[in-house]
Amino acid sequence: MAGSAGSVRRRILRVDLTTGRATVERPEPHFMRLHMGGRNLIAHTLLTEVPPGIDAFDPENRLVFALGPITGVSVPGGSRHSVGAKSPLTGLFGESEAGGYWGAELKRAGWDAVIVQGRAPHPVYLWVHDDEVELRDARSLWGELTGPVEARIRADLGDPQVRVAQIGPAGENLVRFACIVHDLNEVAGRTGLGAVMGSKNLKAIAVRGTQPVTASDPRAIAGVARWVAQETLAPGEPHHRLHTWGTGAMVKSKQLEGHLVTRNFRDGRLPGGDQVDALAIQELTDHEMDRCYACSVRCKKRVKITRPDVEVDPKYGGPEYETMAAIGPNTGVVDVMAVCKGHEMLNALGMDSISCGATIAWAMEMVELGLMDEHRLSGETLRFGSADDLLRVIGKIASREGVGDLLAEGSLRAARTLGADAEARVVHVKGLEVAMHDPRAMPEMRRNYPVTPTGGDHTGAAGKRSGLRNTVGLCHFLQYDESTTLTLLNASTGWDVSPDELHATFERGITMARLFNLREGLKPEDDRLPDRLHQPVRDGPLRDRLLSRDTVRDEVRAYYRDHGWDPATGRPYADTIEYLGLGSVAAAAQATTFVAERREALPAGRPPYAPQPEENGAPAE
Amino acid sequence: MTPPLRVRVRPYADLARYFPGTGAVREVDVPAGATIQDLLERYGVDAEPRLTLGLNGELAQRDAALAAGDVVDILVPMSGGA
Repeated sequence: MAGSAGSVRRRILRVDLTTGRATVERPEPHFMRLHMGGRNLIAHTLLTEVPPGIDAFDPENRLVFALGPITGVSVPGGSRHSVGAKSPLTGLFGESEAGGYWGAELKRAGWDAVIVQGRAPHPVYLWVHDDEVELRDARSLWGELTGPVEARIRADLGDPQVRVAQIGPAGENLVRFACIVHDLNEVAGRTGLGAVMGSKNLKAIAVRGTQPVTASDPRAIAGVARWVAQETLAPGEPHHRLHTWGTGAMVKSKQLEGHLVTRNFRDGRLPGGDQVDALAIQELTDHEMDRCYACSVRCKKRVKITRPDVEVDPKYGGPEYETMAAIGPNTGVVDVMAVCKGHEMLNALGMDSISCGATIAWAMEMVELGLMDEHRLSGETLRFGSADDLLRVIGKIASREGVGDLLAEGSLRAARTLGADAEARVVHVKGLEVAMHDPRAMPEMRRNYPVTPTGGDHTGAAGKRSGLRNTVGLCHFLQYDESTTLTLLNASTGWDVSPDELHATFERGITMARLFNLREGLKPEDDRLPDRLHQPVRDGPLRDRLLSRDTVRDEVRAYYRDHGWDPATGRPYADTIEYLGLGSVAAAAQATTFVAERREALPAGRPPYAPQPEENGAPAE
Repeated sequence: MTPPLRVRVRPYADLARYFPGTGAVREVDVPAGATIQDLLERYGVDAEPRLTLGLNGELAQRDAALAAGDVVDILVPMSGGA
C-alpha cells in the first residue's frame, strides 16, 4: 500500500516495550474508513485495549500516536496528528495534537499510527526508518533537555533530517502535565501524555521516511493549496493575521472587554497585561515566522533574544497565545521577555504551558491567601507578578524539587492536599486546567469546556469542526469550510465520504471518548465549570456579570441530547451505539453497562443525533 | 466653521491597513462632534464584521463622541466568542 495512490497506509506499528517486540498490524479497509485515524483511532484503542480502572502509569496503558488520513498530504494544515492515552492528570480520555513535521514524516515512513504499550526495563528511544524499527538505548539521554537530545539522536543516526518526538526531564519525572515535544516546538501539550511516555521509559520516537504520500486526486489537493497560498494571505484575507503575527495579535481586545485571564482567573484585566502579545514579541525580539509541513500560512513564531539579562534560543520556537496568557497575565507577569524565556524553558523541559502556568497561578493565589504554608513552599517565593519566581518555579516543577514536587501533581491534586478552600480556587474541568479563554465572556468556551472529553480544553474539540479535524489530521487554523474539508479527505484517500458519513465519524469519536470516560468513572456532575468561573471577575466591564450554574447545566444537557445521549445521565443511547456501529466496541470495552435505553423509539432511518450546523468563524487561538 | 478634531488611532495588526501613515499610532482628523462610528466609516473600518473598540483605555461603543486628543483602540475580538 505504501507509495500507492491514497494517503491511508493501512499499517499500524505496535511496540511492546516490556518484551521489546514490534509488530505490524494491517487493519481492514472498512476499519480505517470507519475510524479514519487521529482521535477516533485513539478512542477505539483506549476503549478496547486499556483495562478498566488502571492507573495511567500502569504499563498496560496505551500511548497512541495517530495520524489522520490527511496527515502528510501536501496541503496547508495537513501536518497534524493526535497523541492519546489514559490521562495521568484527569484519569480520563487523554488526547492532544501537534503539527510540525513529525506526523508527515511518519506517514512517509509508511505508517498510520504507532501504539506503544508496556514499559522498557531502562530508557530507550524508538527509531522508525521506513519498515526498519529498532529500540535503542537512551540511558545517556535521560535527564537531558529536548534541544540537546534532538541533536544527539540525529548525530547518533547520522541524519540531520530525522524528526524527533520526545519528552523532556518533566516527562521522565512524571510531572502530570508533561507534554510530548515534536521538532522542539510542536507539542502535544494537554492531558499529561509526556508523563505516560516517561512512565514507559520511552524517551523519544525518531522517524525518517522515504515514501512519498500520494493523494488520490493530487489536482484537487493542489487547487486548495493554491487557494491558500495565492488568495488568503494578503491583508484583509482569511489567513493574513496568522501569516503575519501568528496567534496573540489581539490580546488588547480581552483587556478592553475585561476578560484578560488575570491572576488565576480572578481579575479581568491587568495594567500592562495586554503588552504580552504577538505585536510586542515582533517589535521587541529578533523574530521570524516559520511553518509546519506544506503550509503557506507560516504562523509559527521563532523568537531569538540576545540581551545581557536574557537569552532565548529560536530553535524552541516562540510562544503562542495560550502560553503568553498562561505564564503572562494569569500569573500577573507582564514582562514579555520573561514570557519568551518561560516558553523556551517549557519546551526544553517538556511541560504543557497552560497547565503549568495555571498551576503556578493557583499556587500564587494560595500564597497570597495564606493557604500554602512555609513547609509546603520549602523556601520558595511565589508572588503574582514576579517573573523571577515564575521562571524559577518552572524549573523546580520539572525536577520535582521543593514546592515543585507538589505542583508537578497539577493544581487539583495539589489543592486536595491543602483543603477545601484551596480546591475551590482551582480553575479546572475534570482535573485539566482551563485554557486561557474565559467562558464568562465567551459563549463558545462556556459550551465547550464542560463537555470536552479531555476537560478544560479551548480548541472546541467537543464540537464537530475541531473534533473532525483531530480525526482527519487537519489544522484548526485553516479557514476551510466543511465542504473543503470533505474535498480534502476524499481527494487524499480516494474515498467517497458523504457529509452524513463525515458527521457520523465525528459522532463516533465523541461517543467512544464518552464511553471511555464513563467507564473510567466520569459522572454527569463532572461536566461542569469550576466555582471560580461562576464568580464575577473583580474589576473591569464584566465585574457585575455572573455566569449561572443553571445556564451551564442546561447547555450540558442539550449537548447530551444533541449527540444521542441520555440528557439526564450523559450515557449514550443504545440506538446511538448501534447506529454508529459501536456495539462490538462497547462490548469489548466492558462498557455496555454505561449505555442507556431510549424511552421512545426513533423514527426509522433518522440519525439518533441532531444535525450540526457548520461552525463559522475563526477557531480559538 | 468648527475646526476638525485631531485624534490618535491605534489600529491593531492588520487593521492598520485602513489608515494612512505608518507606526502603531496614527493621527487623524475627524469633524467636530464625530463619534467612533463616524471615524470607522470615514476610513472604511466599519466593513469589519466584528470590532472591539477602546477610548482612552476603556471599552467603548461606536456611538461614543470623540474629543481632541482622544486615543481610539481598534481591534478584532479574539476568537472563541459569539
